[in-house]
This record gives sequence, structure tokens and C-alpha cells, in this order.
Amino acid sequence: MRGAIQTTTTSPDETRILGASLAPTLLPGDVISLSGDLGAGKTVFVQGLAAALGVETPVTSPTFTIVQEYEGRYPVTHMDVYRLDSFQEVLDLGFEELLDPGAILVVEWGEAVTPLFPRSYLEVEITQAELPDHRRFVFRPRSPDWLAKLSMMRETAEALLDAASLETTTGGRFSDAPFDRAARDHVYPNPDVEEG
Amino acid sequence: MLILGIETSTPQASVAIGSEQGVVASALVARGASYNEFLLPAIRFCLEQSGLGYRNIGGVAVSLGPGLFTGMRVGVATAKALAQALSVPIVGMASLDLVAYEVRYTPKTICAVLDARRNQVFHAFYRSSPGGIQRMSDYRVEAPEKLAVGLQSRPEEVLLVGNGALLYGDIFEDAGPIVEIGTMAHAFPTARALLELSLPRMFREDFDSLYDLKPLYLRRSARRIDWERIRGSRSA
Repeated sequence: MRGAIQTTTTSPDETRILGASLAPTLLPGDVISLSGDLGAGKTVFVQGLAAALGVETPVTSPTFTIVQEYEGRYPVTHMDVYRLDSFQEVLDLGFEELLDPGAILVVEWGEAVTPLFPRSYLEVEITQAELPDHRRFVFRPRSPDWLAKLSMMRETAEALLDAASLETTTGGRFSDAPFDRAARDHVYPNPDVEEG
Repeated sequence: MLILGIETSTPQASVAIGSEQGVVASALVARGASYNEFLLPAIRFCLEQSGLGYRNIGGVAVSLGPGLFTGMRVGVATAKALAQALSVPIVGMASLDLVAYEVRYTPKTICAVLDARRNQVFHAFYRSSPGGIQRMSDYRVEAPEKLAVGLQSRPEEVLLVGNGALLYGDIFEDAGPIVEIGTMAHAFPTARALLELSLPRMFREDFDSLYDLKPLYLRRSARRIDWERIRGSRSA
């Protein structure tokens, strides 16, 4: 669907602020897919998000632990499918119960397994920009709910980033992202999961 | 012979200890504690309250699902560990069979339906037979709408039981007047039904192999993650 927005952060601190800006919009049951190469800033983004949700334990990359659970204002489940090879391995981790209606689920490299996702989720893609420490973020809402949450996040992020930097941009930090390549063939329930 | 029954395939987990004389102790919880927090304390509670010890247990019966992933993992792993530690036989039964068994006195066809989440249900069809039930279909997982279509094509009256039947009651009732929905009393598989249903197998010595026993996973995927496409599309 349309409504994708993009922005560029200039430091890990700004990336943390961006993650924190998303936090007030989140409710248990929300699912976020996070993509970006090693070192792109996925974990830093989640650190900001989790801290703003009241998670006090340090958030580290789940690449090798695969699934990490945190307790904040709501439970936060942080997962990484990068080291998995098949959908079955994802199911074998109890993925369907990690999609707990009582917890917020962040899946690194979630785009690899979107057929297992619920209908509604947010996709966040992080790429390294030319300048050092600069990161380009694209947020793609996968439901009208997320469209509304993104506009709340945008307002919060503009205010927080302005407050944290010397320059005031008066709402110019975000722009519309180009229309999605192949709005993913998302079918639900997924026909590729054999049934029976 | 006293049997320990463990049922954790739905959010309502239960354990029971009993014999052909009936249940001597049972514990059930449907919210709060996680399966592993509940299971061993519940077994200890049942043993203590009935003045028994682990040495009195002559066999372990366990529900294999289909059901919720974590519950099945914890339940089957605990049952296997206990059976091995106590050197007693183990018998695995299907959760859907337990649900159908509770309503075996109906002349109607029975369809046991458990909530599989993600807008799907686990189900199987049964009819009552002398002394129990007979399963007439495979265990399946599918959307309730799909099961409703299947119900429409059946000529006979069907009793749907289980939490899935209640959850998607309106969908199934639309399938026609020959469908009846069971009540909350029969909505979950119980360790009590598991005990009763496993006893004949214990007496026949129709045991399962401790090492081969596995939960019934109905959702399987043979699909590989296409990392080349995903990483490729990103660098493009």
C-alpha cells in the first residue's frame, strides 16, 4: 500500500531517537519487520524503541540468540531470522506464538518470511547513506493502522530530533518514499505452508 | 495401575493421576502460569494431595496435540523425561481425540475443532463406536471458512465441539441447520479424558517408543528462505 515515508539520520543517537519516536504508537500485538545489512543500525534502532518502552536491560543483537525477550511497559520480543534457512525453522521456533497478541514483536530480516506474518505490520528498511554514520530509513505501512501510527511517529520524531540538534527543520526531516517495488504478494493464510 | 496424564496443547493445561477406578487427583489452569511453571508443581500437588509419590506412577500418558507449539513442546518433553526417569511406559494421544471422546454418547457425527490461531482451526471427524470413538478423517489445519464449506457438503447431522467451534460458531452455524455447536464444558481437551482414553492402550501394552514420540505438528513448510533474492533486491 501507499504511504511509505523516509528520513535520514546522521548519527546513532539520532537513530535511537527515531526508534524512540515509534514507541508511543506501539501496542501489544504489533509486528515490525526490520531489514538492513550488518552494521546498518537495526539494533541501535531497537535500543531506542525498547528504552522508550521502559525496557531497562541492555538490548543486544539477536543474530546469534535468534530470539530475545524483554520486559518493558509491554513485553518486547526481538527476533532475527538472518541465520535461518527455511520457513520450517522459523515455525520450529514457535513463531506463531511469538506473534503473541500480548507482546510487541520486532523481526530483523522479517521481509524474508512475510508469508508467515499477520495481515498488518510495519516494514522498516535501513540502508547506509554516502556520508559516514548517515542512515536512510524507509517506513512502509502494511495496513491503514500503521499509516496512522507512522504519522504520529513522524510528528514525535520531528520534535525530538529538533530538540536534540542545533538546527530546526520545521517538519522537513521526512519525505514520501517512492512507491514500493512489488507490493509484496502477501497472502494470508499462506498457501506455501502445507496444511494437513 | 496409576497413570499420570499431561495435557498442554491448548491454553487450558491440565494434569491428572488415576487408574481404571477413576481419577484420584487433577489440576488445571487456563491463565497466568506458563506451561513449564505449571506442570511440575501441578504434578507434585496431585501426588501430595492424594498421598502418592512418583514411585506409584505406573505409566505416563501425554497429549501430542495438535495444539499450541510451546505447550506441546513442554508437555511432551516433560512426559518423556518423567517416563524415562521412572522407567515406566508412555502413551501419546491426539488432543482432538480427547475432545471428541468427551461427547461420544451422541448419535451425530462429531467434529472436534480446536483454535489454531492465525485464523485457522485444527479439526477431525469422529463417530461414536462401542466403548469409544472412531476417527473418520485425518487431523487437519485450515481456515474455519473452509471447514464450513466441508460441513455444507455433509448429509448427516454434525456436532462441533472444542474452543475452535465456539470461537468461529457463527461461521459454522451458517453452514446449515444440521450443525450443532458444543458448549464450554467440552471446549478443551483434558488430562482426565486423556487418562481414560489411554488406559485401554496401557492394558494392551500398546506403548509408544520413548525416543520416537513427537508432538503432532500439522503446520509444515518445505519452503526455503530465498536469501539470494532478498539480499539481491536490496543491493539493486
